[in-house]
Amino acid sequence: MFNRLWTKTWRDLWQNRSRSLLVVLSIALSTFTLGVILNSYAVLSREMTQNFLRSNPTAISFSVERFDKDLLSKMKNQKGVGEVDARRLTSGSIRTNTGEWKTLLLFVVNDYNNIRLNIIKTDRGTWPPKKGQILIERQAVSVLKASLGDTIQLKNIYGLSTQLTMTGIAHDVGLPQAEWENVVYGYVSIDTLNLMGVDFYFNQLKISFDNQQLSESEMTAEASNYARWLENKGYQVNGYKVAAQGEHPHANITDGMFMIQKVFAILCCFLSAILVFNLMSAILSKQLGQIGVMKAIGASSKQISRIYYRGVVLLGLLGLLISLPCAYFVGNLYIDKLTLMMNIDISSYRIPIGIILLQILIGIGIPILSAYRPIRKASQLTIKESLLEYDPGVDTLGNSSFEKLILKLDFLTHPLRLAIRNSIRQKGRFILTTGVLMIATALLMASFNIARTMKQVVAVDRSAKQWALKISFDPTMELIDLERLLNEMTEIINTESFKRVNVSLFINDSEKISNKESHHSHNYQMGVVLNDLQLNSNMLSLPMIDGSWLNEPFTAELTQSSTTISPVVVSQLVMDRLPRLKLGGTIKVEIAGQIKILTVIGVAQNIGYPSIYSSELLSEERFKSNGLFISSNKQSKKELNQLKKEVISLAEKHGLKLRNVVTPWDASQVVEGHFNIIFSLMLLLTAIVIFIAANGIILTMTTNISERTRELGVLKAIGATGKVLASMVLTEASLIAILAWVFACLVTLPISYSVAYWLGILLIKTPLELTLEPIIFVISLPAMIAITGLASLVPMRKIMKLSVKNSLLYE
Amino acid sequence: MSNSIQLSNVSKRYRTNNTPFIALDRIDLSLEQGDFVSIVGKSGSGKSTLLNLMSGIDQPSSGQVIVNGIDIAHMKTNFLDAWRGKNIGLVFQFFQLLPTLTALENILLAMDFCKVISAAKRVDRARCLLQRVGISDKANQFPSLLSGGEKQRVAIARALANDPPIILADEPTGNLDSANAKSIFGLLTELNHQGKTIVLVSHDPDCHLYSNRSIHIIDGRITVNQKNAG
Ligand SMILES: Nc1ncnc2c1ncn2[C@@H]1O[C@H](COP(=O)(O)OP(=O)(O)O)[C@@H](O)[C@H]1O
Ligand SMILES: [Mg+2]
Repeated sequence: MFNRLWTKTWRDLWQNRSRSLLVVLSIALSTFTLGVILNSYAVLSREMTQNFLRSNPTAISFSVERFDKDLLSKMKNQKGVGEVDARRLTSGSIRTNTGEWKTLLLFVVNDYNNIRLNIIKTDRGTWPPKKGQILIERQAVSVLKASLGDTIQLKNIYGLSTQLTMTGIAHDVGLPQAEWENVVYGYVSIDTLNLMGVDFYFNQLKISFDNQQLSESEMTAEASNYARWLENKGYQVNGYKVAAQGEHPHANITDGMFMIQKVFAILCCFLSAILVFNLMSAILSKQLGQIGVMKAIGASSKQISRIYYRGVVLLGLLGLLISLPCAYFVGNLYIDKLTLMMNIDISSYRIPIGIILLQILIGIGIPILSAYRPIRKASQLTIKESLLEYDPGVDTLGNSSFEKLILKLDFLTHPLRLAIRNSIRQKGRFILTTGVLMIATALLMASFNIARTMKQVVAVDRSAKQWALKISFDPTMELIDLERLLNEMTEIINTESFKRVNVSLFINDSEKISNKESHHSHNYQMGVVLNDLQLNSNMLSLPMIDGSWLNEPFTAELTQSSTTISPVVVSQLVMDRLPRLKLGGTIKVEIAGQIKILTVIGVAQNIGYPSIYSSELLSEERFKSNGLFISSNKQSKKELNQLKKEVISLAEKHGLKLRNVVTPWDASQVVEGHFNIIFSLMLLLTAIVIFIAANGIILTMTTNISERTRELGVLKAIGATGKVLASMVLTEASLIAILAWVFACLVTLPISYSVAYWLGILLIKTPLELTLEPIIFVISLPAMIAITGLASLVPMRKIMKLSVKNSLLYE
Repeated sequence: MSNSIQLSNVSKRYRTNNTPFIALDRIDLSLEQGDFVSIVGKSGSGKSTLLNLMSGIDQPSSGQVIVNGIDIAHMKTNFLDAWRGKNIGLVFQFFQLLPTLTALENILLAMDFCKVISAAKRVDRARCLLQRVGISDKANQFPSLLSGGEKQRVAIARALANDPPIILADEPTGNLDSANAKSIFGLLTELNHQGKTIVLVSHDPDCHLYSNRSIHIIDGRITVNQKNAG
């Protein structure tokens, strides 16, 4: 039933439509940010799980030294075992279309047309792979940089070379991301494996349980029983892995990413809630007189609350009307972007009803909660009190001694004194507005501090490279010729060759670990770049996180005697994968089919690929140099680019085929690109918060003005020009900006520090050392004054237009 | 005739900056149903305070206020708000119309609050009331487009919305020119003839011409309380 209570509600909103619109926008903005993140998270986590479950995930994956098909039926007959399946996993290397060699993890599936566990699906091209064909995992295609129909060159585990045709692309949801791992996943038939010169047998045994409800510890207990059973049967079990029930192996990475975004969305929600709160209190304090009148003609407190609550709910619904569809569409775009990254297929973009209800709850809840106190206060006032407030001309200023003091300060300019006075008069509103702007300013500063920090990290990384150019070439090239040619150039001081090979690092070998300790599930190897340097090379001086560099005497306690060991330094990215590895401990790698045990004597910071550094480790004849460091007296980016050109054309003239020549600047380009993306994302988020804050300034100023229309009219009547009043508004805005800036300078420090810390952990597995950007501290003050100045243009226009007559009539 | 409003030994004291101030001092007053009472006195003498006590907007510091047989001095505000809507029509100096509602809607809102008049009859009644105060053509105007006299007529129509037996008007002509003031007084007289009890606070020296009883207040005390001739 729509009676005049409704009429009053929506007429009030309509009469104040510009301010109502600002509230609607604030609510829309905050529920939108939250909506995009909640929607995409809900859809992605559901689809990720479904993708995973649809693939019939493995419960336990045993790494068995060698077995054949017979074992499968025996295993299936074991009590409690559901499905069984087998794979052969072997490693090798594969040549990308740019001529680089990458680690290849090659699978042979028991029966491509009847995969029982960890189902792999065809994405494009042929299925199953026939003799001479290789299928590449969807995400690994970008690592391999090849396309369907290409002839691919690969080497088996013993270094033997074969050529296969890439005839198809497969989708395997159970694998860690190829791009992040820097490996290529391939699928071949038994024939092809034989063709490559590798004997066929299975080495991965996968099982699931009849009972799907087993807990992780129950599964682990079962796993060790089966392992014992296998060992009793004479099989050598190298390890096993228990999967967390129904959880995609990437789940915790996405969780981490969404965690950050959720925090941000909640911040946005909170900030807009503050704005809505400010506005609600202002609107309601203007309504006090009307509330008194309504009570005088018989309205109950309940009826009055109803009028205003309906109003705020209406505003919330209008905000949701904007934000719900926007969040849906933008969320879908975001999902599409992440789907590629997570390597999953989305079967439905349907958002769970609970998530939508949650957004509605928040969209309506924010205005209701922020209106609760003012409405309660207003509707509980007695008629006398509210009518008294309504009586124009009541001025409660000058009560506290502080206010009196401010009013006495003659040296302050007139607008400044008025501005301070006005701010004091609405302390709560002033503090909240300033607080929101302070957070925006602090975030802005933090963004630039982080940008500076990232720049510094890149600079450190660059200065760690003592070389001027790094050349890579085919090992068949005559290195001596090249070196002689280069040493004739006057700019070149010195050349030094090195060997760079992609090796496979064993991660879980012979260790029984559970899923909790590593989310990298099915492969037991990861691609790592090994840089074998010359003895006492000083071409690299990486910042050391722990231990000592190759040339220095070891400081680590070694487990073996020092004459037999192969000391290496690893980058922190390697350390991260082997949580139990200690300085002085060993790692196991496979180099061109050969297993080597290396002793870690130091951990160095390197922001590129996971790397191992060694000194004359690959001394055997078959390992030839494939890289050359060049040091030069030239240093600047421009000079080195020039030098690079000269070297390339010189080599070309003499028929020496170089693969690649890079300067230290080229080398850091990719990382700089990533950092720039992060910086722009941070700036975008900051921009949203600044927008909310500017919105707050507009709201506060216009509210202040409309509350004082009468007083301003009187000021005008006694001779204050519009200009004086406008400059008062501007002064008030600047006052807010300056205060916000002062506090932001302090608040930004812990924010910047923690972002640098977590960003480092997330990106390069070691905290970034915070470097402050002094310029942003200086620049943000005028910037914030400019922003608040712009935001106060709206109220300033309002004040200029104010006519004396109207403002005195104003009710 | 029954007593409509009765005040016995009513005092109202204020305390500002710790100095007590007596706004009304031991007032005894008894008004009968159908009375048209005018209250005069200087500004600050306590007229509005007296009126506020009668409507239950304010509570006395001591004494009894009985309106239509109910002691309103000791009622809860929730009860009083509903009671007032049904029993008292208020008219203010500054009209106090709600700016976002039309003339008609202002009257309807009062009915919607009190629910004395059945929903189906409200619009007809509101139009009828506007006709009675002589501005039926302004029904759909917003207050900002009405003149002072018209606003006060709407306010009077609103005061009549729930058909209360008592109308309390605090300086209803304070913001009006003499011609408009005269017709508002005429309107109140008419209502009085139709049986409403009317209490009018006014500065107008002529107001006793319309009322049947005049009360003078000086410094919170009633000095004159007399029946008017005729
Ligand atoms: N809330 C209050 N606090 C203190 N003094 C008050 C208050 N309300 C009214 N007064 C004082 O009581 C006296 C009577 O006020 P009022 O009844 O409004 O006078 P008037 O006759 O002009 O209507 C005045 O002196 C006024 O200052
Ligand atoms: Mg008065």
